[in-house]
Amino acid sequence: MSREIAILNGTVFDPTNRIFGERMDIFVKDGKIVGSASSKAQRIDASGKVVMPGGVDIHSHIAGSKVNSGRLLRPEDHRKDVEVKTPTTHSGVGYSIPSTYTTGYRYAKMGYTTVFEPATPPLKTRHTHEELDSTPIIDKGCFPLFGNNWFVMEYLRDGKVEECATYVAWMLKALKGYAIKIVDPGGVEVWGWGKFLRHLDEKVTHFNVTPREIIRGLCKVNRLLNLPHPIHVHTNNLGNPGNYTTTIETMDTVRDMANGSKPIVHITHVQFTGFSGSSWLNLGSGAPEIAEYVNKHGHVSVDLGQIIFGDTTTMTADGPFQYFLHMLTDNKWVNMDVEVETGSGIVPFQYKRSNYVNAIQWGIGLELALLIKDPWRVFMTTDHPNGGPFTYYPRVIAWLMSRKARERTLSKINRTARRRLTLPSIDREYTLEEIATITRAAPARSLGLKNKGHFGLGADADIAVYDINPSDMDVLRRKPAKLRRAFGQACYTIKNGAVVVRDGKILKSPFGRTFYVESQTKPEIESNLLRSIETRFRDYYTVGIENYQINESYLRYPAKVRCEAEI
Amino acid sequence: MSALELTLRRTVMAPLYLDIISPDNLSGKRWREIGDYIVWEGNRKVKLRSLFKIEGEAEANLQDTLIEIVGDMSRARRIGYRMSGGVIRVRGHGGLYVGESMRGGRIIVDGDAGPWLGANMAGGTIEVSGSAGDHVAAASLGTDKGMTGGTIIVKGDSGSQTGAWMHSGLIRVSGSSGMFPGAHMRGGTIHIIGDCSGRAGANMRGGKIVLSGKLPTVLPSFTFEDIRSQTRVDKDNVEGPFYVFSGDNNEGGDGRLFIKKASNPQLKWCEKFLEV
Repeated sequence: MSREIAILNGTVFDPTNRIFGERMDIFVKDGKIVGSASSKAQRIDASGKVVMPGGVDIHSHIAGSKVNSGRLLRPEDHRKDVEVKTPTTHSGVGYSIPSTYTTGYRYAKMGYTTVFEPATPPLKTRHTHEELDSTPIIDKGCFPLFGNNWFVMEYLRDGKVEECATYVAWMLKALKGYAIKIVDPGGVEVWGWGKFLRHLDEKVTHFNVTPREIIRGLCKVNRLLNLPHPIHVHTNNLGNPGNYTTTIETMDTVRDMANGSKPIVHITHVQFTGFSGSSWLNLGSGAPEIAEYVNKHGHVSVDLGQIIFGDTTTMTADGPFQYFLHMLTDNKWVNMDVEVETGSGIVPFQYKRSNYVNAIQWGIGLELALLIKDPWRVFMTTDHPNGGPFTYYPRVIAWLMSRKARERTLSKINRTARRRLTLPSIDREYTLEEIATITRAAPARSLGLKNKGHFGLGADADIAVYDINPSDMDVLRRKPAKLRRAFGQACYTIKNGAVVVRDGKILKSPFGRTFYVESQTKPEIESNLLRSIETRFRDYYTVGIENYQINESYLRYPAKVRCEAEI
Repeated sequence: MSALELTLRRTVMAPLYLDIISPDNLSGKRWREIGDYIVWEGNRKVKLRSLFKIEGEAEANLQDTLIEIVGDMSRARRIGYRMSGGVIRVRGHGGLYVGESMRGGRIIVDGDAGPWLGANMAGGTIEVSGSAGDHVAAASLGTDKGMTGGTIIVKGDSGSQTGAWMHSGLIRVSGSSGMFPGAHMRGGTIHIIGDCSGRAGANMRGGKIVLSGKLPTVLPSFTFEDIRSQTRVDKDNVEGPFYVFSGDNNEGGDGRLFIKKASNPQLKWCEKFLEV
């Protein structure tokens, strides 16, 4: 039986197809957008409401071993936020590290339908897929970590970029990963030896390779493999005063490889790497400088990593930074070294309005969003849960759309921070089409998901309907609480052609697909590689290569994205 | 003071969540209204009147409210949750989490209380005629702030981790105590009149633990300070003499352990340090 839905008279925002608030009908058949529907179609009256493609979150830590360690570390996080079982939903808990089912439900309630887990240690990717498979409704994928991988560093030290590309292609295929994630390139490995990397040109202990070479090497690999998403980089020096220079240097290090206007490097949670100043006392915002660079150079895209004041749990593969945070706060800490590949750390954290540093961080995120002119290259995230839980996205949207909302929060933050931020002088207010761009169209394009983030014929029928009347925008900007409510509770969320949420309530919870990339290199090159890494697996790993790989049948609904490798 | 009396109608086998039962929630409410309150019994929602026979009335004034619960409440959880005034008397066993996060008022349990008695308590008084389970006045799992005020009196024994992460207040246990009393303690006073199973004050940074009974051994991370003839617990003088230890040095702590000399001849070795 075909499933048909007609969403009638909504005000549609589809930036990809240059539809900016036009009153029109959207038709769905068998999970795809179509041009018309029969009279038997389920009719949804969206008059006076906004219709957008389903939200796409490019960077949200929702699954994997570190997320689960965070859950175990923080029982107090769950006690304050309990979801009771209903006829259509499982029970679960929040708050900053929600259980898998709750994660799926809460994203769907906000109108999000696609979410990517941005850091999975390759060795533990099986666990990541198991958790992604038990996260309902949303489509998902994961980015394996390569920035501190011994094999990658050895290949790049020896200048073997093609071999490195073959290895990365095999890893992505074997792990069912989607893109190359680089976290603190070389820095995590060096910290294992009790040292810190401060510059892009410092050598990694025992590997004789620099962060710059790792970033450039993996950027070339990305191009050789024609991967849909550019390298996803968490830069060195994260969380240190003055680190905005490292961020700009990281962007600039691959500038010569740019090919046209398409971004070739994605700098993630750029708020955490946008500090100016030389110490915590004179810490300032490096957002204007970063925004200026991004405005002038088309090869870069960024996501915000906006912080939300309140309690959260920080978790990252950047072990050194988490160690620093643990020493700073005296909070409990999980640290993990993943053999051959990476490390990670987890520390609970509370962002306070009255704290100077936290207030500056809050300002940096918003300044970046407001100063970067091209909404196609800045995506909204909170680096869930590092900046704050994803459930606070509506609040971030309200800050971006309403100057009044920003002023209200500004009036409550640390006074010295308020004086030093550029934010109070920024008048820009995001429009609905810009919000549609930074929350769905642009992330989908950056991820290379051709059928997501737009309403073109044949696109996936992932749709969000919000109770916002575009003609009332001036009123809503003066009442940001209404905006928050509207974006926090979608009137309808349609996933793959099925209505999954109505008026903020889950109606059904089908499971979404898991995207992964297969960039096929020449078979003879791959077999040579396998012969060489089999020995190395025996030397370096405590698991066999056979157990390392994840079969497609292991995933609930795998969705392969093919790309042609140039090698 | 008229009492609101809740008498258990039947045996309860599943966990019963009774956080609704506190003077703050019930004062000034009519019995009919109280009977309509819904609570969880295992995975089912039930009305309070299906569990209890409800008699009498709750006073309108919070401080004058007296709630009497009759029956075996050992399956119940969170009686007196966050209460700030009035009195709850349980004529039977009290269950788990009795007086969790309580801020004022008084709870009297005639029987035993389960684990987490007065967890995260900030004020008020709890008296238990029988014994209490583990984690008396402790911090909820994952948090680092247990009891911050008030008084807990246990006339029987208490389990392990009594007063863990305690910051202020008083715990008095007339019987014996399990392992780790005052673990991670930051302030306040614990007085255990009976014996203690061991590891008293592990990771403590402040506060005072007075042990009148036997303690097998003192943790090596404590420093012997002195012998005192008596010490003060709340407003009372407790006669000694006591060996006084400070620690836990692993945490750079400045807590005090008072261990009664007469009950602990095995600690006589430390007296030689006084002769120097």
